[in-house]
Amino acid sequence: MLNEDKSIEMIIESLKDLIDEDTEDEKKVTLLNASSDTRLFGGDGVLDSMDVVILLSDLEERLDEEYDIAISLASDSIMSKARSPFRTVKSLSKYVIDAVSN
Amino acid sequence: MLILVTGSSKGIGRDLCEEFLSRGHIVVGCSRGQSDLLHDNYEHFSCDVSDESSVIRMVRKIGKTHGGIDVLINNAGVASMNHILSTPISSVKKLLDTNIIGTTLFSREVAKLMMRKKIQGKIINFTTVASALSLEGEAIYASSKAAVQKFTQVAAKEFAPFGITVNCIGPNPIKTDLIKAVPSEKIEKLLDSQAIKRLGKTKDVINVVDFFINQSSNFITAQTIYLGGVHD
Repeated sequence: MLNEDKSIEMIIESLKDLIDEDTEDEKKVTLLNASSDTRLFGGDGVLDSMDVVILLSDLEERLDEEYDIAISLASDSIMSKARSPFRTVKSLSKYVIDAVSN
Repeated sequence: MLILVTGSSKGIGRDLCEEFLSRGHIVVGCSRGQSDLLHDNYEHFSCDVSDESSVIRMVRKIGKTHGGIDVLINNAGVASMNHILSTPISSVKKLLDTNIIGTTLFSREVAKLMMRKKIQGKIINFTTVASALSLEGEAIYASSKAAVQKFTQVAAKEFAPFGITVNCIGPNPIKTDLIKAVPSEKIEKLLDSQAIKRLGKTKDVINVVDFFINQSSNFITAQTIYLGGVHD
């Protein structure tokens, strides 16, 4: 059963997977030390739009593999810098739990 | 290679499956119903291409079973011939569901799988000469396929960072169920507007598909190739 703690843990693991050889040091530190309050997208968030679609895809795969939940996390508001559920780890966690519940 | 062909139970889709199977590839197909294509390397899914959850489940299952998808051929399509003034909106929605929603859904889900598996994948969409020629009686079909072409161009840009190419093929009339309701004089008139005035053949389509999926075509994306010398 996916609860808030588990979804935050899953998101933090996914954020680590975004790191590759091209990731800048400052961004790498933020991703490696992400917590529920970490700002992800919009404002001073650490992710760009490409990171967001990769993260979305990775979370969908984790939901399928770890919880046997095959859903799409697509939404019209994902690329909105003001309203995106990807604003913070916490808002993303709520979004994922809502999507799974629905 | 693993090649996924939508609309694989008959027509061009079926021919493509048989061709790629004969070359030793693994082929996965789908259609609304069952398929009588029996081959050790062929797997069939009964799937409505416009049903989001069905498409997601199908692509995830292919990913788990086979590890990835190298080529997606968005062949599933519905044609309709009618005057705009007598076209019911239910027909419009049905056609858009298959031609636009289906292409979008499969492209989205398969591209995600290709991206995760770091596969330099190839996506091939289907348009039609009816779009380039703005054929009377084909308003909805031609419009939907024009949308597929534009989708192809944008998808090519959005998927390029992942090494995925997206291209489009525009067949001229080929003897399949898709054109069986079109009057022969209309077909003749259409053929007359082509540079090369003959019906298309499946092998003409396969030739273009081969070009797009060739690994040497990694620099070819966002393109549409029409058969028979038709152009926009």
